[in-house]
Amino acid sequence: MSISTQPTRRTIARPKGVLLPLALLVLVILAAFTLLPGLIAPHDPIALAMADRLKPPSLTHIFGTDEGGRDVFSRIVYGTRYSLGVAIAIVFASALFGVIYGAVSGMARQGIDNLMMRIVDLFFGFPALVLALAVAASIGRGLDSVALSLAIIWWPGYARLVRGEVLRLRERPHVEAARALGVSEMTILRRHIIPFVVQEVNVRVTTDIGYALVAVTALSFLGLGANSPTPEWGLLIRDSRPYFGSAWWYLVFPGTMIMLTATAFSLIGDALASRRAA
Amino acid sequence: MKLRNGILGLALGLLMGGVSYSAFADDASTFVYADAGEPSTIDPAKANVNWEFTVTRNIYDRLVDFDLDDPSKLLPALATEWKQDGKVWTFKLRDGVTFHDGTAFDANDVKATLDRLLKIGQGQSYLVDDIASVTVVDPKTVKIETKAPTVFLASNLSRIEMLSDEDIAKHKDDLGQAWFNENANGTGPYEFVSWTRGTQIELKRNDKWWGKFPEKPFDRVLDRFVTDGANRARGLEGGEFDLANFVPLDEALRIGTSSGFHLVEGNNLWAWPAIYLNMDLAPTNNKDFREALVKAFDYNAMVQSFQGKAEVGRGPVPSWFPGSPEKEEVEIKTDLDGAKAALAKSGLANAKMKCSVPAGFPEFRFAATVLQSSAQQLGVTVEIEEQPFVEAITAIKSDRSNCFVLGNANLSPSDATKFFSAHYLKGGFYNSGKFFDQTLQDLVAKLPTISDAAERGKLLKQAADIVVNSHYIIWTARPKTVVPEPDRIGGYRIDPAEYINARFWEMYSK
Amino acid sequence: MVIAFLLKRLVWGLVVLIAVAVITFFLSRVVPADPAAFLAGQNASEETVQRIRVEHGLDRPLPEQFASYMIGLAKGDLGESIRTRRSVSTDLKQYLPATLELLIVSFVLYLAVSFSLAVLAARRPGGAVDGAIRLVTMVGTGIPVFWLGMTLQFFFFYKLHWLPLGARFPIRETAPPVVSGFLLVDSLLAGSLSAFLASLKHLTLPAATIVVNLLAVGTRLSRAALIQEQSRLYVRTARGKGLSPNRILFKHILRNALSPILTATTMQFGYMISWVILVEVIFDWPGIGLYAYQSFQVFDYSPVIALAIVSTAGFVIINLVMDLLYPVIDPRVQSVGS
Repeated sequence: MSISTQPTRRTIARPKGVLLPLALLVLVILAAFTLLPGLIAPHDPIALAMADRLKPPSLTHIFGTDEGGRDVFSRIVYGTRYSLGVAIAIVFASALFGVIYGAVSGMARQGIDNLMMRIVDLFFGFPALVLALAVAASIGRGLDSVALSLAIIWWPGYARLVRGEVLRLRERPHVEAARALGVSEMTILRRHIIPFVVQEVNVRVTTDIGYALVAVTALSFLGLGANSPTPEWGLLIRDSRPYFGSAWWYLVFPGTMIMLTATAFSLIGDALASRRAA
Repeated sequence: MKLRNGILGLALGLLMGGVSYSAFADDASTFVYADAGEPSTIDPAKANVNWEFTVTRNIYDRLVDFDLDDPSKLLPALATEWKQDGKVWTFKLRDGVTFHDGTAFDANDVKATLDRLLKIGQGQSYLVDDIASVTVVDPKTVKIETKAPTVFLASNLSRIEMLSDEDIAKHKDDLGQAWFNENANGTGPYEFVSWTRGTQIELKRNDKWWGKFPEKPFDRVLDRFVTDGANRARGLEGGEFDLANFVPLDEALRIGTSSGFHLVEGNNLWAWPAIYLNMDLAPTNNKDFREALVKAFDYNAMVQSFQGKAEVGRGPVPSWFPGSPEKEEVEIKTDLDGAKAALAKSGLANAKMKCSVPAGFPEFRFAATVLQSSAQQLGVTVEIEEQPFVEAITAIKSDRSNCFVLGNANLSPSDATKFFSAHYLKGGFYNSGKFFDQTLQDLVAKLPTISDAAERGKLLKQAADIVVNSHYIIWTARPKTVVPEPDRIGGYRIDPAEYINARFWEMYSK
Repeated sequence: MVIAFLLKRLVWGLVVLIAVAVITFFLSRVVPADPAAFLAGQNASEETVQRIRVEHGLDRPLPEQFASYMIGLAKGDLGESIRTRRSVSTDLKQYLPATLELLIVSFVLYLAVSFSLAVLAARRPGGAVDGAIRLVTMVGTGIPVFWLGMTLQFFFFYKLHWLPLGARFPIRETAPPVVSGFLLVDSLLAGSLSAFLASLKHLTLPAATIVVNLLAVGTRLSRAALIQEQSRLYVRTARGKGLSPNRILFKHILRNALSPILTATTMQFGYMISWVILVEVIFDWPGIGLYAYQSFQVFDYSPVIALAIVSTAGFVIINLVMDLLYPVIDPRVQSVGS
């Protein structure tokens, strides 16, 4: 599901001006939302307050309220740890597995390498949503099943990336030299290959968190993810749908939040890439 | 080579085509109905959901009709007269009625239809499953004998569509199941034209229909499948559709009060949304625990979520229903102290339970959310899982869930026993929490045999009380049905015995 | 050489398809729901449900169901849809063209837009235009596709009345007779330009939704390729020979930049299919995505497995075609076998 966007070093442009600081600011805000929702959110995200049902944005409710009179802003704040948390978990888990798989494949003999990469290919054509539908139905709807199904289709991207890097690095003169000097494959891997690969993967992980977030919310939107009344962002959008004509704020703010978060991660990923290239 | 042929074809098509085909038809007399789903079948013996009834109801006729304003009053349709004599009902059939293919309608059609319906055993057959035999007396007279005397047979037949015995005979091998699934030949006000899968079913007006159309009826009806409620609302408001099924309530109220629209309101819902508690699975198998939930439930929150267009029910039978005991029932309201006492009695403080909610209805989800928030005040944790309908009802039936949210109407216009059988008797499809009470079973069996209406009312109250006192169901609120109708059209009426249905033959343009 | 390569790929493709069929079959059967209950309908008695279970072979043990499914699959039989009560192949024939039409139009639009943006961006790498384009495409990728679809509907249908809400053709009008199933083609075959334009109008929002979400990758890759190619020797040579800049751009650079983009696109295929399901749901687009999604709601397994098989097959075929095309597109690649 994730896509190789490996740019050539020389062609990377560094994000300029205020964009990067802005992206970092978004990140700080998100971290605060995740770690200290109680301090930031002005209202209870779960308790019903029917008198305030579907009220437009105001000073008390800056993002308005939902069909239960709950503060949309508070729900978004509390939802960060679900939406973003799951996205991060998916990306980390797939990166970890993908790196190991890719490294093994890259270092292995050609026959095994071929087979391992063929298995990776299998996952690329598999429609993510179909898998998610099936997983959700078999182990129940919830963020855990979303995490599982997305991780299953996410890791092959890392495996392929890492294998490519390993193959490239193996041919480097200093690695060849080390090998000629009788340094063991394990040591070569540890000293000369893994450190470089990790840098490459870092860039990818950062950008992917944004994409994973979008994917998580998509599954929740289809009703495969979080369950009510969890304030997960995709679920907020799903729940807001019947009220769109009467309460635009209920749909607009969670969507904007997803968009901002994903863009911030992309920008930071870009910055990391350009720092590596410099 | 292929590519060149293709281009050649395109060019030829451009040159020669356009003669027979024109996209832009006169659409003044076309009525577009946005239905919430695509039928799985249009066989009247199997039709089960609103979007299947939309088609069957308009293509076929029934023996009797009923007055939408007073469901206890029956009106002539394919039958002009009927009478009950113990177990035997006799129907006199209308003269000069023909099917869309030109064949005449007679008593053989009635017999073939009912025999087939009961043999297939699906769809609305449960409404007439007390029929023992159907006899053709003469082409215009049919005799129906029931297993036990029932006063409701004619009324229940107002939901049973009549097919042609020639069609049934022609497709004998599988009882015509394959053919009737996607073909239709009725006597009704509209004729089946085509079914574009995934998109729409097209009907055209039957100008030879025996009934009466209003002035300026619609000659062509497009039944569109628009699965998303927000899209139905948006399309209705934007003028793409003339009427829509299941418009979310907030949108319906907003659209119906905006300029160019008016609201059609009606009472009709029996249990909407009702929370069914599992009688077999802890902690809901404990009666005191159920009582605690019923008393803790915040009914006002529900009424507010319906913007006040709802009342709190006092039991299963809504007050407008013929012979309803509702007025004599005790009011149901939130009583937190009572709830706490009941919970203490149950000894199930801090219990956890799971609730399965059929996806797609914001009202159902909200009812579960209210239950969750109310139960929390007692220290009881409710976990909600929204699932497709089949999965959700399977979860509670197989004891993987404690509760299930369901909204339903009684399709029979005046027979409450059919609703009770499906919802509260052993083996009933909607009896998802597996409620069982022998006295209730006996009462429901006895009720149709009694000819005195006052006596029936008494039994109905007893039956309702058994369900209420068991705390099997939380009747969260009974909203009004609200349908926004564009000012450019008229004629829409709410069927009290069903959530939303469209009688296209009553619709007209202004 | 080429034939051996093709054979190898075909065999592998077949293995992949079988694996996908097996996986989805078992995944879908773990579901704790009874399709027979749906088929029988509400109010049907338990005996009726049991009868239907037997009729559809749902009462048989899982291995037996699996065996008969695989045997059917080998014969090209994708099973029966419980919801539509028709064979899945018949349904696919009906729904596939709608999805393909949407995918093809989106893909063409995607290539065109990302190329144009890349050309603009590559003119002065690091300049203001370049930065703006990158930001905009990045934001586009960060927008949840379903949210974007609803927002576009809101503005272009509800507020502005410019574009339709959904579906493939104006509701009140008669669609051209079905020949290919592609409305754009069929309306031209029927000789109706107005029908063609109407279909195009209906394609606009769904296609735009898909394209906006994919743009970042395409634009980034094309831009990178363009900058790299620009600095290559042959471009300098060509410039020295006095070719016009536009000619250089299109003749040399685009051709060489195409292959990384096509590679990336094949990698995005699974992604696109997933997005297509969402877009079809939002726009009531009667394609295989909506078909499979609705089938899943009632535990109608066969269409879901069929979707997995069809989309994987699509992926395998596209990959194969790409491999065969590389030497044509990119003169530097010698032959597929190497």
